[in-house]
Amino acid sequence: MKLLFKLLLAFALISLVFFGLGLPAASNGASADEAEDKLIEAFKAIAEAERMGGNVSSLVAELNEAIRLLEEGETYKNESLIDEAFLRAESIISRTSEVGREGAVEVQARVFQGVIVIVVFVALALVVWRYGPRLFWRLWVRGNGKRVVHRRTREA
Amino acid sequence: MLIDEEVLAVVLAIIVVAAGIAVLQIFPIGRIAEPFSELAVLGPEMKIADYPKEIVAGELFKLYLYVRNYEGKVMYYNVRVKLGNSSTQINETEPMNVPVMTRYDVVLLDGDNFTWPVALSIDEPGVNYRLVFEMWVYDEGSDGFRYHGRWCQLWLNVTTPIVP
Repeated sequence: MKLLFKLLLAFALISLVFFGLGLPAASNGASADEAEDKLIEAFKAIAEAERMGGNVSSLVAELNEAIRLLEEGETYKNESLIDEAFLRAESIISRTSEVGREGAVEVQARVFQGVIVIVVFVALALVVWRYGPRLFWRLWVRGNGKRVVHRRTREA
Repeated sequence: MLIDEEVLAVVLAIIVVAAGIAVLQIFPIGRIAEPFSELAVLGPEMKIADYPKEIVAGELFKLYLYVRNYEGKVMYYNVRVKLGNSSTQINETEPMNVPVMTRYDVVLLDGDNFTWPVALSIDEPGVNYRLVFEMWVYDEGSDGFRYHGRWCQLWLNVTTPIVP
């Protein structure tokens, strides 16, 4: 009997510790206002990543999902949905800087590509300017060189 | 020599045009002539028609709300639904000064659009109700939502429900 009591006591203590520590870890207890602030923070981070040239389409889709969760959470007074919206917004914020960096690298590559294209075209223009007429007439002579041109005198 | 110069001019013109096109292909971003956003209210069949005019107090009626982003950047839209009457003021600069019935939020990339199915009800019977949909956008400068000057409205008469 004593052993059974001890076992029950141990089980109760373990359960208390498990739920006492486990529940707050699963839920961060964010209010709807906090979740909304976090969504706006996520939007600002996405806007910045887009300005840097990043492809933010997947982040925008996730943010819209978080917005939907918050709306549902507010409508049905469901705190776990509000928490989920908050956590998703945090997750978006943590990834925006990486997307922005990738975008910045892509923009740099595009600028470099643009400079290369301009240099190639300028060089091509200079070559055409310098050697174009000579090349054109050489090709023309190659195609039409066997033609015989008769001089016609104008009759008075 | 005259022909030479003409040929040269044509070749150079082709090169200049080709260079211009190539550069535009490489830098496609930031060419927005006139940024704007669209807001529209659609009827229950998702068309610009068949809008409700007479509804019963307390009964849900269906509409669709459409938003499109042509601002050249990602935008956070917030459409606010308000109920006013013929004397309530609204224009492109001032939103309607009445409480918000409900709101719809969405974030849209440039060129994207979104349509919400909307189910609303009005509890108080009356005539010439003005159901207004205002477009607000998140403004990073002021760190808050600001009225974007776009709005739509429906005029409604709300009848008393018939008790059997």
